[in-house]
Amino acid sequence: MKPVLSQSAPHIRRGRTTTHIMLDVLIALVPASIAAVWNFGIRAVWLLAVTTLSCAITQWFCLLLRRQGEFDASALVSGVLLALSLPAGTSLWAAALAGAFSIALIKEAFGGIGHNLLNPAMAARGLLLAAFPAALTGYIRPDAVSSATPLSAVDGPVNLDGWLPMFTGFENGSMGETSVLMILVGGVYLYFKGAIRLRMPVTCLGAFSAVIWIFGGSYGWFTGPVVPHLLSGGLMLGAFFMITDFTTKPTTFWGELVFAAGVGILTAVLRLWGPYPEGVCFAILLMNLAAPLLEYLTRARVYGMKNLLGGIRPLKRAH
Amino acid sequence: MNTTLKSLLNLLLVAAVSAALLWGADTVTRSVIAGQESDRIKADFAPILAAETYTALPTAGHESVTAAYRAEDRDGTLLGYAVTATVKGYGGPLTVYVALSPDGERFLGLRVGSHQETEGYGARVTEEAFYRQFDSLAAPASVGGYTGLEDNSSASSSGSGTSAANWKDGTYRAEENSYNQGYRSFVELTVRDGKITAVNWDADKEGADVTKKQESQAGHYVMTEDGLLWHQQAAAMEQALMEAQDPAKLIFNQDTGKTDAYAGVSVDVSAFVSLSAQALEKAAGTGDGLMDSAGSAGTVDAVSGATVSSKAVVKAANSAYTFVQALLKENR
Repeated sequence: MKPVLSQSAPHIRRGRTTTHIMLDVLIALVPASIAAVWNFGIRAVWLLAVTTLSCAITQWFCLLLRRQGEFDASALVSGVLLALSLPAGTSLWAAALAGAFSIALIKEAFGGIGHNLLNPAMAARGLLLAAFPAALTGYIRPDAVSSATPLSAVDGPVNLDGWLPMFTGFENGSMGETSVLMILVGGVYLYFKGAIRLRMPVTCLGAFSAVIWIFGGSYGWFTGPVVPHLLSGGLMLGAFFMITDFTTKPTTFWGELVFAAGVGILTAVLRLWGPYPEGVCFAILLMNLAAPLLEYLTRARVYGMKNLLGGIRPLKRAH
Repeated sequence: MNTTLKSLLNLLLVAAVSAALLWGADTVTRSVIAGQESDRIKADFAPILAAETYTALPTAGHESVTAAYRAEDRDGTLLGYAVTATVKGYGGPLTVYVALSPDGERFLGLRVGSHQETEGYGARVTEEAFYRQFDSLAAPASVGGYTGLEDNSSASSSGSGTSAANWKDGTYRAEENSYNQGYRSFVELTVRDGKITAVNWDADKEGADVTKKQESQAGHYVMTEDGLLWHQQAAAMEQALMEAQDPAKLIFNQDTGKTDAYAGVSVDVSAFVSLSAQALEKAAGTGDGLMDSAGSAGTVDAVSGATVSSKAVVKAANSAYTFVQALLKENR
């Protein structure tokens, strides 16, 4: 018999807790972290340590103040994700500040895990990008020579044959963004653990690729350099680890798809026409804000009511 | 069915479909780009070559040459070689489209593509009068004795011999006539077997038994907090001259004496260049001749007020020539 997946209550309780899932996510981030340390050395270790510690301490402090909730690994996940989304040369005090900001203001102030509106790691990166852009420009090459990231060079004709180093990760970029291979390994692990479904990353990357291919080329329509764009920047990390965050995405099937596609399209649009070379961060934050609306519009329809995408519309009152 | 197995199949399916889509899009895109690229090449070379097909040639290992093509007409007859060369102009990169005859000994013509030269000065190298000089010009070209070729001996093999061959072994010194801001620059050159094997650029300090290099090495002559020290910059220029083997080939701004062609060098290098030239004149045993060593090169008049840009165009033309020569030699 086909198992029925129910999205509304009642649910069966299992021994699998939030902490288990968060530990799975942490395990899934290990390959990307190793790649970061391999590429950037001791700087990567420091950055990972500072953000993770900052997030954990802030959470512990907030829980103390709020006198409720329990410590789970979610703050650690936010810390690691934040570190991986930053350039290795980010100043450590800025990273620590961002970590504390993400937990205190983005997560705990909204009611802790499960209640936050924005992805904490992305919100923290957004804060740094907006408030301390200089702290973020420390892109270091694995061989410690600073240069433009491939994404800032991806304008114009792109050599499609040079994609392999971008895939394996010896390229310039933020810490965890450089090795697509390692992010995919983590993503596949999460998939087998049942922590994510493939439909969100696939929809996101698909929508992204479509926009880049159609509009991103320097030779007219349908000539965009899809592969280099897919392999660069924080897109992969976002598609597998950020948009799949349970709290900040819609829970419904169509909601998830629209959400993921929205992130992909916005990222492509911001990359092609935006002022920053990368757009993943803002794309995710914008779609985070749209998530409650998407969920509202796509909630399972109540039997007997017609509406757009199955969402709920108030009944016409009988007079 | 086993859940893990199902997940695995699911994953493989997604991966396969994605790979197929990417491959498909890539193939389509490549063909579209190739089509537009060939239209663009035709348009770039249209004023100097009436070819129907352009077959790309490998350009790896040739500095300045960014693209090269065999140009053939409709019947497959070789019309010549079309070469795109990008060199450093006065204001930035300067792209030149060069057409060479099938035997590679003659320019068919050239056109300047994208450039950042100064309007009214350097930008006048895009005028018809300048272009016309290259129509059917014997290669390599030279402007005021300058060819921009890396290796003079091979470039003008059929020529009268370069000035380098006239240098007699020995060490030659040239110095400034007077002290300038407390220093008097000098250059010492050592020539062995027609090559510059050692260079020393230094300056005597007025009223002291110490040179600028010694002061700089001791940390007493500091120009800026960061950047290379004077003796390091001098060493960089000495190295550059030994590589170029010709002070005329050192790239610097004639007006300011500054250069950005050599990493870290921020001092005025004009004295170094002129003193080196004087020292080499001594080596050649003549007072002139150094700058007029064009050999069999086809001579071109520089656009007045645009010496640097004219030289850049000539350098580009000659890199195209060198490229085609190397290609023909390989195929022979």
